[in-house]
Amino acid sequence: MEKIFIEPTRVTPLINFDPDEGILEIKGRSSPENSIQFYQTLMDALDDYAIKGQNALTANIAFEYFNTSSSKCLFDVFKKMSKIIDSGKDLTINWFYEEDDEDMMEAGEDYSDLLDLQFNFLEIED
Amino acid sequence: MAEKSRELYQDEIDNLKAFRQKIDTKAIFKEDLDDFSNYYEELIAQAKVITRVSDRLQKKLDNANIQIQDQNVEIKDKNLELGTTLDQLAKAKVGKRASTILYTVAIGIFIVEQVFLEPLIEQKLAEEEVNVPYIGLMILAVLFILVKLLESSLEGYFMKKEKKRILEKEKSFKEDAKPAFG
Repeated sequence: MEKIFIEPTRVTPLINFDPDEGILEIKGRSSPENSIQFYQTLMDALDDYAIKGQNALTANIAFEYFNTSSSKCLFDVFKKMSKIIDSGKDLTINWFYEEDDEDMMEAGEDYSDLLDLQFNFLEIED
Repeated sequence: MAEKSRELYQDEIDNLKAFRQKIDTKAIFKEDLDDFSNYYEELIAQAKVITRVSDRLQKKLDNANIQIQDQNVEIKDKNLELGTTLDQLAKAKVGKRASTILYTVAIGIFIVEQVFLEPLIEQKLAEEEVNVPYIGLMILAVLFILVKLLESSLEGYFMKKEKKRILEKEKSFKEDAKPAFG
């Protein structure tokens, strides 16, 4: 399984997926022109990880902002993460949000409730 | 690698197509209906969450926009204030320069009047046997009134020059900044 590293831009987040270490990082802003194209590589990698992955996965997610199509892609990403749990591996999701950014925290809560996934909510201090 | 031309709701579209195919073949079972209603239920749940999340983040953007608008108004006010202060500062600077020049001119005139003009006039009046008291002071007063009149036009000239200098500076600043945004 290959590592994925995508540099962040003004409209896309940093993506760092290291299957050997069992670490996934998604950080920044997400409003790409074509969200599905941007997240597809990661979704395919998570599908692979559910089958071939050896370790538990820790996902550190820290968004400043994401647009509507990205919110659908994130939903799909979390669904793939559910499959990782279904395959018997441990999954930790750390949802980081900036201090006083309740909207972002509640967005994480919405995903957590809908997909029945356990999120750790962590505030990033300025 | 997955197919490249995936759409945003590709899985949901695939499920719908598969279900429609089953309807077409008329080989539909209760299990299929259950599955389809489950997909539909999940789609409603997704729509709810995505709408809720989007509304929240849109609110975040709206708040940021309001903040930017407020800051723009504040910046405009500060710019006006800064413009007025700069204008006052330029006026003071120009006034000081004009005063220095006029002060120098006045001293020059005073010396010229005292050394050359006054003895010449007094000599001329003595030859004519005319007695004009305080002739020197009167000449000086006339000359200083003329110098004072010159002060405002000198200030106007320096002010124009200063404005031109500021505009040129601003123009070159904008030109320097252009490549950074291009």
